Amino acid sequence: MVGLFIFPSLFPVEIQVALLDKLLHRDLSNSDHKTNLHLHYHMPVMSTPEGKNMSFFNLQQSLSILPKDPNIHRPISATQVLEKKLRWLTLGGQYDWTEKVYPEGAQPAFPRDVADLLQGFFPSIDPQAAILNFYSPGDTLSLHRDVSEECDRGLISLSIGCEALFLIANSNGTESATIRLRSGDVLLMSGESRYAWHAVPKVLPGTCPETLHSWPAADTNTGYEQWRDWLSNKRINLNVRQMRDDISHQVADFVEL
Amino acid sequence: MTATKHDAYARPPDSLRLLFKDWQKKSPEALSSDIDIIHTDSLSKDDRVSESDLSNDDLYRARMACQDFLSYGNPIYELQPPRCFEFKSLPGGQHLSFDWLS
Repeated sequence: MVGLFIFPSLFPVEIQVALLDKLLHRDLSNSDHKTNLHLHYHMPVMSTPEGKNMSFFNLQQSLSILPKDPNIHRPISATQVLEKKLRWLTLGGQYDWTEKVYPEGAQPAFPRDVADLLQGFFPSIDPQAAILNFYSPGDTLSLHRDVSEECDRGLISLSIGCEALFLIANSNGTESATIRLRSGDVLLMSGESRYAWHAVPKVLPGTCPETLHSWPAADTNTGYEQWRDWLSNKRINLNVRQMRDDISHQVADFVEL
Repeated sequence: MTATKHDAYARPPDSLRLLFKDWQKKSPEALSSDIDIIHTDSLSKDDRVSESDLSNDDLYRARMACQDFLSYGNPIYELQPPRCFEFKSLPGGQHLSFDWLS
């Protein structure tokens, strides 16, 4: 079995918007889910009057986020974080990028509603960890293989926003394919393709669907007007994997936004 | 099902790194006419993939998952039946070894 599957436009716009709302308003501000910035910055955790985590998109754009070591890094603003500096977020199993392993022991719970959605489509995969990548035009993802998981279950990759080129190849590079992924497309890397080399050499500016342009702002007042059109020049990629076969993992109960 | 062992620190072949750079440099105009690119909005016309059938159970489960996710139980009238295309030849990795022993 070759095992590389493409599901074009699998998720309709309503699902893409709901995923963005949950992942970027709710899960991004959950401090259990680390980003590329947590190592070097004191990332703000602010609460609403009801005691819920405040979305990063509610922060004042000029808010100054302080570095852990001011001798190495300068303060950055919320605008800089959301426009360019934020590159990835890990959900569930918090992948250690340096050691290239998933830590042992209890991990933050994977969002239940996102897990249930994905298992509805791919019941043989138990969503335990995910990396949410944030791209702007000009950003790339270098060639790599996802080999840190301890089981061979397929890897699910969902694209939202701008289109991108996805390069995938066999282990010695003699065969490759370049796919132009669009918003709502899902790729499943399984079987022989599970450990294929892959990369994102290009994100294509001006290709976000018009129906998603204005996110997080909307026609009704959502309180995110200052970020209107944030998604218009972004690509968000959610790639979900099962770390291990035999763990009893926590899945977070659905939390209303 | 234990995982096939792979070297997490292996480097990609030089040929792939060159290919990556080639794609990175291409302009949007060049990309729009490049016949090597597989377009996900015209897979039914691409002979590098074949369409797989999805069962009625798959379609029903997918529809229910979407409705539950949106939490208000209304049918998603715009949810077209999912389609699934598989690559005929792969970008294939190493042969899976389910009885890998440490």
